[in-house]
Amino acid sequence: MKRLLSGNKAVATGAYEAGAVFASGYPGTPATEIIEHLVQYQDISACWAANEKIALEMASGASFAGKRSIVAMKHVGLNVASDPLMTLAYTGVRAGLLIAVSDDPGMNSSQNEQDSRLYGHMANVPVLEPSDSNEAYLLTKEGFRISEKFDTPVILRLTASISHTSSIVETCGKDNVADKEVFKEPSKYVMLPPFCNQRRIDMLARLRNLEGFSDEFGFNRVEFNSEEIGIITSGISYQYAKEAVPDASVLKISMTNPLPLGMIRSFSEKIKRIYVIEESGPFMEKTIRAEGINVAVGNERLKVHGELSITDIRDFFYNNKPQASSAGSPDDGTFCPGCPYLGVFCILRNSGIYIFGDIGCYTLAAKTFEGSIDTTLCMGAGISQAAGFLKSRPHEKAVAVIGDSTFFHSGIPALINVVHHGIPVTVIILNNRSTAMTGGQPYTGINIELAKLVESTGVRDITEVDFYDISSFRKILETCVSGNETSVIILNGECVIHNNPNPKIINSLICDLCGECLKIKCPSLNIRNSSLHIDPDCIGCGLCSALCMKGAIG
Amino acid sequence: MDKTVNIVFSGTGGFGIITASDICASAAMLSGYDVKKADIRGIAKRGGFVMSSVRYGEKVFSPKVEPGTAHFLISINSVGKPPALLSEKGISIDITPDLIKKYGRHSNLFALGILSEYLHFDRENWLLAIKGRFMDGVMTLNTHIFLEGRDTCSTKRSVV
Repeated sequence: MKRLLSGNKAVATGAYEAGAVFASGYPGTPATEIIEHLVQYQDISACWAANEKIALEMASGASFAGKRSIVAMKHVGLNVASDPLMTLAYTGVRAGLLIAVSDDPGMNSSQNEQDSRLYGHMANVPVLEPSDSNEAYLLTKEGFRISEKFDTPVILRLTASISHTSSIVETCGKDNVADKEVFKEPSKYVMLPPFCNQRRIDMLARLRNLEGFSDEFGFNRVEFNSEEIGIITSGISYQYAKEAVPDASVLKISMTNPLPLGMIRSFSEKIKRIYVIEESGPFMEKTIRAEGINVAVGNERLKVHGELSITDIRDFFYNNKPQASSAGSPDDGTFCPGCPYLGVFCILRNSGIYIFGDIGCYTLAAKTFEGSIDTTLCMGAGISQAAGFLKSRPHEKAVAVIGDSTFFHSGIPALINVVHHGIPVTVIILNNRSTAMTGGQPYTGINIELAKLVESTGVRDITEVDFYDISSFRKILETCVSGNETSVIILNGECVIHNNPNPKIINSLICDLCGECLKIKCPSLNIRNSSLHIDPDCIGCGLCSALCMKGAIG
Repeated sequence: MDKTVNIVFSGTGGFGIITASDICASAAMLSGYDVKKADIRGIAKRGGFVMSSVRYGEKVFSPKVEPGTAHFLISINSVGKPPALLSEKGISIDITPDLIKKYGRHSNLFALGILSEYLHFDRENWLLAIKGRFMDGVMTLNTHIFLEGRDTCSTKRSVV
């Protein structure tokens, strides 16, 4: 059946048809929709895990149980899951295990740009790279087969341009896959010496076999045209190269680790000039060059960071113009109207305290409320950064701001660490009851009473306050920061993304345009033609009316 | 037709930009073309800028429309114009505030009706694509608005 599917939906469809029984992950753009689609299949037990490491560990348990499993995450999620990955490469799998990871070249919604293929290289596991939705679907199914045939986890490497674009998929129905038996086998699954030593030898032998397989793999293919120009490419870059340089010969690589080196060698022998076109880093190029194959042009001269485009490639081939690296994110995110975070950061902005942020919608405050966030590193980092800062400068003040979902992802060990070492960090937990940034997925701690959990770690100074009660929050913050022990402020409320509009009304007879209310930076509130306006998407939260001394907003 | 046709839908979130491009892509697929689609959504979930592009033809490679290559640019409640996407001879379909007042959240279907007069798909394929996207009640209303848009644009032109 022909269907128009996004890359992410194609992966979910492929996993379902391949007989995956377990699926997990943690939300993160551009990978989120894979699990969201898998949740809809009744035959699959799909769940959001507390973090990516836990998701992969659960999947490995499912594989040990003889059932096919898939995990999905964004590139930085694989950093968190890299610990189990490195040793899963040793133990191998029982039933197929696929790790779908989506990279974000250009950092449209991420803190960094990574090339997940390098993880495949480091872990010695195969990496498959689709160029459109149909291949995402087929390679997902193929990935499970390779996983079982070679007894290894398999990485399916996507990028934003594959995950978030749609193309036609020809689906062929559910495969008939039998479960594998479950039994005890410590020499394969208990990684202590000498078992792990033997497994390393097995793994390296497997890699040699995979190298041979890559040369035979049908998804790696040559499209021969000219003898002058030959392009070696993978992923979305294949599509760009085909369109930008239609006369070139192309070697399209779908298994980028291990590379089909025999195929690459025979391709390069037939063609005068070899170009390697790939998004992110020079992953294929470096290996190809190391083999002594003469690459005329690769990543470094074409483009060193950001997303590639047809224009980039055309400019390079026909206008002899190397691309200047584009700087800056194309997207200026804003808060939703009436977002409960607005009041918090409006106060933090002028506090003069060092504020260690984290990953979530609140990261946007760094731009909206200048000076309200001083660092953003990775999931769960803020609390520990504040701790290190105070250990080094005991006379300063430090606050860590973290969302509830991020707190359950990786903030809890950081809080325990701070309490254990008696560091007087003030931790503000933004408890909006959702993983808001990625669309409001539920998280593992949703049924846990936060205050009780925090109390059990040994924190004595715990205060709970409503998000919209900003005057109380201001006072509590002052008290906490001036104290000399670890304190936690839990701000309670709900993410307003699904709230219906309920606009406030401005009494223009009273409003004298003093601008006090604009400090809240609500996107619904603005001045046009010398008068204050509230847009129809206002949810009536009252943050602005609380700031108005004259009572002009009711 | 040996050329790929590039169509860009743009506007404010909540006005069915993505829905419009889904229907257009689906109509292209039903008409036997290869088709690819790319959505760009802002980080903000509500009221932000949304753009979606559809490319169709015998064989489509890239899913994205490069600057200066769009044959059609459909703007629905667009605040400012998206980056210079339209080609020199490209056709711009603007859904004016008057039309938005009249059709509200269904303006996207009116826009599709206009667009449909320029493209080579059979009327039946458009109707099937609309049918595949909505529940019964909304479907009837949306089909009606689509046909209104189609009638408004009576001069049938050939594409690119």
